[in-house]
Amino acid sequence: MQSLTNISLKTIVIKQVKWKAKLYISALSSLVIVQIIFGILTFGSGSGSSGSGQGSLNVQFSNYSLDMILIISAIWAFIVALLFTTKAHRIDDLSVISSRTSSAIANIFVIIIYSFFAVIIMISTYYLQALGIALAEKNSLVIDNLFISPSILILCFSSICLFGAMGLLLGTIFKGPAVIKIFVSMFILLGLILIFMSPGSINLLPIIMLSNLMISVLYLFVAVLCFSLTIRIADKSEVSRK
Amino acid sequence: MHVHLDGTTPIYIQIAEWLQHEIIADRLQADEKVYSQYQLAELFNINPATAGKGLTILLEEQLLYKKRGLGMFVATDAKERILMKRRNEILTKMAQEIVLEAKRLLVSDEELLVLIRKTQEGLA
Amino acid sequence: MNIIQCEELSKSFGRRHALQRVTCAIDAEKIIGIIGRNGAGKSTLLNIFAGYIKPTTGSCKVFNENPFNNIQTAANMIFIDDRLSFSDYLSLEDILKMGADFYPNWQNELAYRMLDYAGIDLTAKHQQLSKGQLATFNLVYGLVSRCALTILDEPMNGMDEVIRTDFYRAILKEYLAFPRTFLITSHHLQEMESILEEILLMDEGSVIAHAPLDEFKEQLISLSGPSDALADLLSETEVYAQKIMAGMTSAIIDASKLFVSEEILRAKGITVSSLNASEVCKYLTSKKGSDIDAIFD
Repeated sequence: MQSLTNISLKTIVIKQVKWKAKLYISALSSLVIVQIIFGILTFGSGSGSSGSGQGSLNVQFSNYSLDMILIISAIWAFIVALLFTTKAHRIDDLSVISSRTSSAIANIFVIIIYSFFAVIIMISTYYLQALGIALAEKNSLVIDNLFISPSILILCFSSICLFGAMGLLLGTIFKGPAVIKIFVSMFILLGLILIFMSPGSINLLPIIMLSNLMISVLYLFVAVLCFSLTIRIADKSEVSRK
Repeated sequence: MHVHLDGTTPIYIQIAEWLQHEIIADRLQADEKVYSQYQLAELFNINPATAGKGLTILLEEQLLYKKRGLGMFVATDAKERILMKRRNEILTKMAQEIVLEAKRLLVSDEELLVLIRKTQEGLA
Repeated sequence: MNIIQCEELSKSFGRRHALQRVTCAIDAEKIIGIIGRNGAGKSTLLNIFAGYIKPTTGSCKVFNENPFNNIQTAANMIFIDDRLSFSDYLSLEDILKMGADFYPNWQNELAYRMLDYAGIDLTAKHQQLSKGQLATFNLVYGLVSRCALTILDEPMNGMDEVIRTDFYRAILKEYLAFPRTFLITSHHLQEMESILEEILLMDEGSVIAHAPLDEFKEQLISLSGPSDALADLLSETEVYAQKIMAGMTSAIIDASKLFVSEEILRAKGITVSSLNASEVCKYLTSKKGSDIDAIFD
């Protein structure tokens, strides 16, 4: 009898992360492209497009553009994460040594790594946009705050991560056992009913009032919750090439 | 090196027969090492377990003997014993068929014996 | 030593019972053919062995562990079928590199030689390959990974006959070079029969026979002769198939239930002949008395 191969989960996860991160690098380039397109669109529409009218117009513009970039990045992370859980990816995982657990953990790490890169891409886009505006408008006062504080960076990272985590969880739920699917659908349904029946019962104000850092911690906490649920559900999911 | 592996005769019997044939034809001499089951598997594109079964038949008939750790060898008297066995088996079977066919064709026993004697004289 | 042990294994998909109380054991280092009609439950059983799906009831142990979602099972098992897929971003060469990174016993040079022999261009993408090339590549991938349990589900689908013959030999040579357990399903039993050690025959979600190839073949025999001479004999035994034409009957019966010697049968004008493995499979799995001829009567 040939001795069996003994490989730890950690080794396999590292290998899977390495290959997945390399393979789906095009996801990052898609983010760059989307941001460039949005950059051109907002650039074309001019600096006066936002309209809430408090404070000076210039400051408002710079806030507005980073928010926009963040929203795009978060949606991007959600979609990429959702794609990671599609059948095609799950079947690809079966072609090498893997278990549902190892694949789920590897996907989580890739999402975290990509979130990190997404923040870098975001910042670059932001500065490029600022540079573009400065050149075009010939007005050095347009941008009055080129320095992005670390707390904002952490907030960006945690929000992208959170959306990625939600994408993974959602995708995994709908590939998981029927019991979990029914449970989650019921939960969402109840939530919606609650919101429609008494809109006043959910008060988001305390959250919005929190500092950037506190919100980041909250986001990361929810993200970790999503990640662990993802692993739990993946553990119980069947998979088939059919 | 070719044996027609047909679908109905068990492969291990065909392998045993092929080995006996090699012994009769002196391609495998007395006390010479015979092919291992893995060599036979490779040679005939068959499962080594099947090849092993073919060798076991010959071992049980003591046409081969085992040397610990060295493999199987052709028994000294293997050739004569195979020839003897074939003579008995084949002739008995043929005789049976002749007798049966004679019965079907309503040839009497005396007529059959005469026929055999005549055939013998003709070939002599 | 057993590497797979199933006890009362059942699997249902909704109302459909794909497997029903399967109990079987697979020995290490054997080439085993898993045979059965379409829908007999072969793929379901193999998917359970691979740890992809869970049994509904009963137990299955692979390498003495529950295979479901088990990384140790995954590390020692490879499952090849025509749905094996790889990322669109990988060329065949990259795929081999990835395989080498994951599988500890990987034989990269052998993979190159085999693919070169089959005339497959390594710069191509997996999904660009023709059906036959795809099957060839997947089989090579499965062979060079040298996993203790190698499951090949219809590995020769779409290959032409020459390549099929070559690759049955490749499987055998790889087995001789590096003994491991092969589970192979195929609709071309006759082609692969000679390299098999055992047959596991499935029908309607159950294992109905599991035996060494020769024993398996010898369980049924065919008798043919004058109808009146055969009538008595057939009334006492289980008849799997029977055909009557111009006073002559030919029938397939259970060999273990025939207590009359061949000499006596021959004296009655009855000839006994053996069947090949795929005929035995056919008769064991077809509904008793069903026959395509009956439709046209």
